[in-house]
Amino acid sequence: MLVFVVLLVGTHVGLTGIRDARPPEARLGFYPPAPVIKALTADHYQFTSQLISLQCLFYFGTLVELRSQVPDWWRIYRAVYTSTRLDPYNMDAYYFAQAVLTWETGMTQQAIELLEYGFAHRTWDWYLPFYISFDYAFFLKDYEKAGMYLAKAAELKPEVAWYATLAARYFYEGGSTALALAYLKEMIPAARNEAIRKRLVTRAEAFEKVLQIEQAVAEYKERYQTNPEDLGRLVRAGLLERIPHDPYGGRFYLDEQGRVRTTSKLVPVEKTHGSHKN
Amino acid sequence: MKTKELTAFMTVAIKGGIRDRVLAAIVVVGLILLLTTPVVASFSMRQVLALATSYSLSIISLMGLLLTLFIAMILLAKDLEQRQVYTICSLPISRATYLLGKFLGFAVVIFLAVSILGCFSAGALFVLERIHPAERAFAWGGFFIGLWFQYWVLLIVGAITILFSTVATSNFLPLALSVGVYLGSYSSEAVRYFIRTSAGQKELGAAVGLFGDLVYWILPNFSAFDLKAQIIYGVALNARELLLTQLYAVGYLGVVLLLATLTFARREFR
Repeated sequence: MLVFVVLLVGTHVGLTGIRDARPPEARLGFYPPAPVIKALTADHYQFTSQLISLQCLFYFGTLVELRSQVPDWWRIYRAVYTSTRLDPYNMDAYYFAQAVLTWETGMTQQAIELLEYGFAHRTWDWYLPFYISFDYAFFLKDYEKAGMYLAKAAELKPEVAWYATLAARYFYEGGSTALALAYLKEMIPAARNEAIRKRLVTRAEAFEKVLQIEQAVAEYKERYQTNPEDLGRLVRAGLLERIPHDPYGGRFYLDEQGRVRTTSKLVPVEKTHGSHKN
Repeated sequence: MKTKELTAFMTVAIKGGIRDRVLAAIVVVGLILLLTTPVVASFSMRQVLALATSYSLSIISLMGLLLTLFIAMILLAKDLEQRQVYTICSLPISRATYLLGKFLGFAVVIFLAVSILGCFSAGALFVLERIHPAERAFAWGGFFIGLWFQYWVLLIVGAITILFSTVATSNFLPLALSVGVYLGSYSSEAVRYFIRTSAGQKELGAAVGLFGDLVYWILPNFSAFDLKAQIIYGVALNARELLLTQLYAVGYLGVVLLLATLTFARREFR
């Protein structure tokens, strides 16, 4: 008995070590095309779809929190894609695509395609056109399409006056930071996963700081009819109490056009990013 | 066919199910389902109730299938093994009465199993709905209609297993064939759609296309019975489609049972 217990514990510990050290692609696993999975899982394809999106979440959460390995973004995208093709109503997959693929990997176009596919099925869901609208406005600067999708969101959710009124102004006046902040504040309360919620909160904090500086820059321009040379000038002019701290660990500065930038580029500075960033 | 004899065989089959502690096992599975549903659902980012429903329906479907295969497989095999069928054949009772009586008993046991699991599942979903209200109200009507059609899938799978049992000489063959039919019946419609596309015709050719079409018309189309999207996401149900599906199920079950009684009547016992 003792021999078997020792054998079991010893191999289990060893096996866990080996499996933990596997490359990212092996940890997420390989998923065959959706039609193959559908044929093999009979009427369990919805649950399988949800398992795949949860697998992506666990994979993302574990690796990002541990910061030990670089997530394989392309593989994550393929898994989310498969998940949505298995169950086009799976909102977890769309939420994950929006929360992770756009900000973390720059796969905005792919995320939009997934969300548009979802909206073709979840025709009642105002979140999807809202996300698509944001992606077009903020990442792709396509305000026409952004406006179109926001109008659809407003149609489905008329009680949110924000969509119908302020959004149009944000889009056309180019106030994308304020838009991003408003968007993130919609996303955070709905985020039930801690890893994703933390990410969104940090990003919102960063955008609050950027907005604070942008407002000081605008006031400086109005007062002195010129761009400030650096952020120190804003502090000396009494428009900022001090230079805000970038929650990502970077340093805020003004570029040649007077736009607020950060050395972190809004990603944690101590972390290396994935090879599929595009 | 005498009702009294039919009822007697049905009662024997139900008692067999109870004796095998099938319903007791189902209650245990139901309790596990009740306890694990909130845990599984808590992993969801945006659709707790949808994940809980999907999980519950998958468990009910899987447990129902295992139970169906298990009971349907031993329904005749046990009597054949214990040679009770020889005694029955020597009595002035038709084999069709024996087979249909057994099937009715099987149908009652499966109905009880699906009902027990459905009740446990509904309890878990009811609580979760109050804790995590969804954007759209949960379609309770759709949930019970979905379970009803799930039950009919199991009846048809059971009848097919019994049909295979009437001709097979081993227990494993009906089981393997039934699993194949079950899987194929959920994908035959999708395959047929693909075959009809220009890409499908180009890739598969006319012969494979014809075969796919034939398989679609022979196997039961379980995709029509699958109302999970409507239940989980509250997509509207089509009353006409439901009625046609129900009539189709009755027709298909009738044909399979008729074939089973014919083959069983011709079977020689040595």
